[in-house]
Amino acid sequence: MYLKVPFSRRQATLSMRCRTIRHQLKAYVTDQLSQAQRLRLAKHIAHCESCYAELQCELATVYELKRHLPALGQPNAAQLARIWQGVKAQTWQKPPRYTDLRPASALLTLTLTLMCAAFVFRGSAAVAAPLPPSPAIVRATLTPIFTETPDPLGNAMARPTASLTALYANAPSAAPAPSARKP
Amino acid sequence: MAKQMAYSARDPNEEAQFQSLIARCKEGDQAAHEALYNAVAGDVYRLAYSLLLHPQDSEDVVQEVMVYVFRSLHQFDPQRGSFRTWLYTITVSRCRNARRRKWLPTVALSSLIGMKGEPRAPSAQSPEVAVAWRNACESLERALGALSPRLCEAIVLRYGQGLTYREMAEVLNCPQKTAESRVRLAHEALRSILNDVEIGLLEEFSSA
Repeated sequence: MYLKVPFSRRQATLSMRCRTIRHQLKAYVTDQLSQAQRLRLAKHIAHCESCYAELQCELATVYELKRHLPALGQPNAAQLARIWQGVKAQTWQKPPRYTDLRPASALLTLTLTLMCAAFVFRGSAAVAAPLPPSPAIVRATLTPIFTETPDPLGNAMARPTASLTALYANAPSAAPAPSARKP
Repeated sequence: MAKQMAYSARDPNEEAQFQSLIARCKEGDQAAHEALYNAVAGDVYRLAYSLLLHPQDSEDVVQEVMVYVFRSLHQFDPQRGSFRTWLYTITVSRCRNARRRKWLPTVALSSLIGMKGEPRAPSAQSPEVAVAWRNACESLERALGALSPRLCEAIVLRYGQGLTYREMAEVLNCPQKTAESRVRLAHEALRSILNDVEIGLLEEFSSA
């Protein structure tokens, strides 16, 4: 921003003394000159109108800054009260302690532990236990499927005497009837 | 014009009052905390607002600063500097952090529901002067927003808070000559910006 300040033609035609004074004017209005430097500057300004005008511009800027910067962002009472409530809450409000919840948390932990244990043991017992036999299978195993009947041709090959259709009729059908597929 | 002159009319016994309040605060006196808050909160808010130019962010920074100050009063060493310098150092640091957080896009709730901040014009003035004052403050805010953060901090501490160059060097953690040059550069930049917007504040208020 400072480098963008234009170097005017009028400034280029200034004498060396005026250029030095212009440079010191900025230091003067921001209170950065010694007593001797201020005296030299005052002597020059007393007879140089252009440097005096430049000083007036610099002083006007300083006047505006001194007048308006302290007034910038004046808080109102409601803002300060709101901030104070927040400060009080954060400064003196102690963090919540959970000592009252210790029995409840212990009970909850115990319950969860028991539930987990019950779930684990129930799952392993179910895996280890054999499946109960269905009535159809029991009937099929108890009923002899193949019995030896005298063959008139003398063939000793076993013939099925028990009807397999009866066995399948007792078993639950896995597939629906073809008529059920009709819409 | 003394080189170390401060612009604000500060109470010379201010530091002694701060010390007595701090001593009471360390003993746990809540009324002393509130008195200390009332003594400095306005200045801290003005400094934060001048650096951030955002009311809600400034409130957050003030709250953060005051909570930190109350919790860290035992760390404050009066031998190393004044309480106000210590306070402004914390505020400037928090404002820098808030400015970094502002890189993320945020939308203020007040802007969504159409709320606006309180007018900062003096209430005992005519409407024309109040309008001129508000325009001047808005122009100054725009000019401060166009400055680099370092120059903005320097000019606000110098003219807004009335610190000396030595105090500015403590707050900004830089050599005194650096603080002086920053004020000079900020003054030069502000002069060009204020001339660009042609606010003519001097004429407005001298005629009002």
